[in-house]
Amino acid sequence: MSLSALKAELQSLRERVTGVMESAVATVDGLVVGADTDTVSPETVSALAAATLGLGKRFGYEVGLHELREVVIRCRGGYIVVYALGNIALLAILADEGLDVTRLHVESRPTVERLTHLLASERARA
Amino acid sequence: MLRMGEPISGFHLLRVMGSPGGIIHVREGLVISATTPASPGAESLLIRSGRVSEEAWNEAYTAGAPQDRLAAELVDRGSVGEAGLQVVCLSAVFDAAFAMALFGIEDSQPEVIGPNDVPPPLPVRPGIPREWLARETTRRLTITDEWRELGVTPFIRPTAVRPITPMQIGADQLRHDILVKANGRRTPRDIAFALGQGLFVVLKEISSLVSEGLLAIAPPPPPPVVEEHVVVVEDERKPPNLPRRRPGTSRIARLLGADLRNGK
Repeated sequence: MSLSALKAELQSLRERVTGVMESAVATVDGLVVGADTDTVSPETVSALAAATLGLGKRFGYEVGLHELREVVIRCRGGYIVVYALGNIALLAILADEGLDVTRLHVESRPTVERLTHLLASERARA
Repeated sequence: MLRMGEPISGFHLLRVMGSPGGIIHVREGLVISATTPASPGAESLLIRSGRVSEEAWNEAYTAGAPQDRLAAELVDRGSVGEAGLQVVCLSAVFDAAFAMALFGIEDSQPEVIGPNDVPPPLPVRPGIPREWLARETTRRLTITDEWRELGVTPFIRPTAVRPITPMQIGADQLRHDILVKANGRRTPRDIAFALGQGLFVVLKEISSLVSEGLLAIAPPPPPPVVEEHVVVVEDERKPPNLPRRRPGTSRIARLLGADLRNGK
């Protein structure tokens, strides 16, 4: 997989969606694959995002709400959004409080598709 | 049915389509709220700038928001003065209208607000006449044309030219804060959110810092969408690929139904 292609996807998402500040792609067990970060540690974001995604999936099934769409966390200073990339990885996005969450969901869909494809084709080559 | 340019009565919402667009609340013809991802709202201006503490905001929100009296709770608890709060709410609306117009308005869709809809949390009372808002937005857009000559647009990601040293005295705090945040990743809008300051004020300071040679502008990426009312100028003397508005095409006046002729 081309790491530059992955980073280009993350930068493109930041430029397309107002409010997106930083992002990272990680494996489901919390290891960094690639990141477009500024102030945060990609390792920390990856590890916490993996735990968040696992918890969100489990929570959804336990309470009968079925399959996880995404995890959205809202804090005073903004949002943390975690999307699953197939069953092997995740995309974590940090955004400020101006984020239009609905727009992010729409705009991130093709990014999630392309990142999933990138990771799957890399896996097939390995 | 409310249409652009027709008199507006009752309580309505204008959903502004654009990149990123936003929402304008209108009550009895007066604009009481405007919010957009392109500029910080009143909550961000109050909390991020430190004018209201997070704790005070939470307490006032819990006590007041369910009864639509968040502003009254903030004032009653002494978190912020009544006049100060109205100034912040007013400036947030003017900044939002400016930001929406600056980033480009494609269309707008009026919607009637029902009794079960949640009203805006911090409305301007009694509200801003639409002509006033449209005129002020047009004035600000005209000023941005001057900044554009320096290469300052909403799409730039400026970088501080020199390392930033801690301030010795409190003067020019905003300029200092902007230089600290200008790391080549943040747009003016991102800096405005990070500091809890209005987009117009931040753009103004950035222009000043650029003209003084304290901020550098990397070649901006092409704007995401070139709208029909935006003309790309190919002129060797000016920065390339910067969109330029044609005068009177920001659509804000038409959107607000404001008549700006004869100085009204």
